[in-house]
Amino acid sequence: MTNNVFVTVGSTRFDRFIAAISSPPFLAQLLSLGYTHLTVQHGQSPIPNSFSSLTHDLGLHLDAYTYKSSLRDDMERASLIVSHAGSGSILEALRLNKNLIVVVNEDLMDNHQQELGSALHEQGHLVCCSVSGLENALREKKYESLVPYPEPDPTRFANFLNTRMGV
Amino acid sequence: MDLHHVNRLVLTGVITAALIALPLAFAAAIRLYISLPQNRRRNRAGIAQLSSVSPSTSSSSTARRSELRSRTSVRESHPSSTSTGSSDAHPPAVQRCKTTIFLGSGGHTAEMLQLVSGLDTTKYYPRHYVVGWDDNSSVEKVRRLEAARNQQEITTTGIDQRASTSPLKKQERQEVEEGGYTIRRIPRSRHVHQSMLTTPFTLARSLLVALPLIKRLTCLTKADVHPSSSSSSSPKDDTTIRQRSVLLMNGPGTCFALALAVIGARMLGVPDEQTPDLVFIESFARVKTLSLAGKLLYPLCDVFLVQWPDLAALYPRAQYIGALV
Repeated sequence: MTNNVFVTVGSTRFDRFIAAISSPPFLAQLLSLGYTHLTVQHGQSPIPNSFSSLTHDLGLHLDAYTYKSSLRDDMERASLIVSHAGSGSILEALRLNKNLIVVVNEDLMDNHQQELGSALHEQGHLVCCSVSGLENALREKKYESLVPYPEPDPTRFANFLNTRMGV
Repeated sequence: MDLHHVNRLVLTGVITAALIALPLAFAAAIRLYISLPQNRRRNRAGIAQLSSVSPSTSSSSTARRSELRSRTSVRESHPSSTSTGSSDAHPPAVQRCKTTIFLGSGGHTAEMLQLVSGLDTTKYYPRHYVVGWDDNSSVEKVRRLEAARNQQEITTTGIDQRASTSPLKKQERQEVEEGGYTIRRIPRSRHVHQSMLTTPFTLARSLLVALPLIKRLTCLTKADVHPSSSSSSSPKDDTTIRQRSVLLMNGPGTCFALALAVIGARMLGVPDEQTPDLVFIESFARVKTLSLAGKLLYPLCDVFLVQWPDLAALYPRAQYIGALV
């Protein structure tokens, strides 16, 4: 239960991210932190051919797939989630109150994903970094002392609209 | 000789066209101006209050609530929104709000349905969902949400099934009577990666579909708005309920066609209080910049909600009442 890392890129392509998490130094770092299972949802990004043999040699249990209709189960199983910066994945992981590292794709033209990641980082709900900062983020272990994200209050919008519409 | 002739013809044509087009454009501009949210009677009192409290920077929920309350009282005491034939000392409350919800697929749908799930279905009735042409996954999610809620409703409260006087099609009326909601599709105004050159054409196509849809689903009849004032003329006045209408949108671009259709309806002379209030809720993912849909809809919407305080500080008409998802 406490030794599973889940990596997700969502429905997009994020090759540098997948290349980083399948590199020997990253895998060695996971092992040194005590993780034994790695689950990777890599979407359209290719994983290197040597990935499964590499993890096998290191003694890390690997489960890699392109996409699933719901990532919920894998997120629940994980003790650490390393996610791309899409708002859907971020919200899902925050709801489950998981240790969360969000990796921003700096190559995207539209950088609003980075805004969400860093805003939530400032509030202490997650750790936001670039691909090159991933190793550091893992080492610093700030993801172990995150502020729980408050449950959404469905009455907030409803009350606002009731007042506005006068019903 | 010929050329001279043609020149004169062209010149006369241009002048005639200009003579016709200029007053038309002028009239349209005035119509557009009074159709814009800042100039709607319903919003004016609220805007004045808003600017005095400067809500964009205040995030205290209690201050917000009292301010909202005062805005509502201002609006309700306005002669345009009170019922003329009422014997009560205070104006009758709005009993029902016709609700049209645009679902933009994917993350947009997820956020919107979460907002809608908090609404009281007996007050927000009927609900018309508008989805993209090929967006079956949103349709499925709506059906799931509505099915779960209908079961609750039947056991807790019986909704007043008395039909609105608005001109729904027979099948739509049937759907409303059965489940309290309908789902309608419109063509997308822009596909992902579509060229900006062809976008006006696809937008025009969405608009053509949106106009009658908006007229039918969202606009109210006079009897819907002032039921008691029509009591003398209409024999079935007890079947009408005082209503308002709201259109909820959160992107992407296709909802621009819906908003334009509503503005268009106002420009074409549908009375202000019979058109829906346009409500846009910017995505939780937008922290410091508005989405394209947000930028397009900001000048058109009566209520513009953002989920991060920075955006409310940047856009004076945007309101921040906390994160909503």
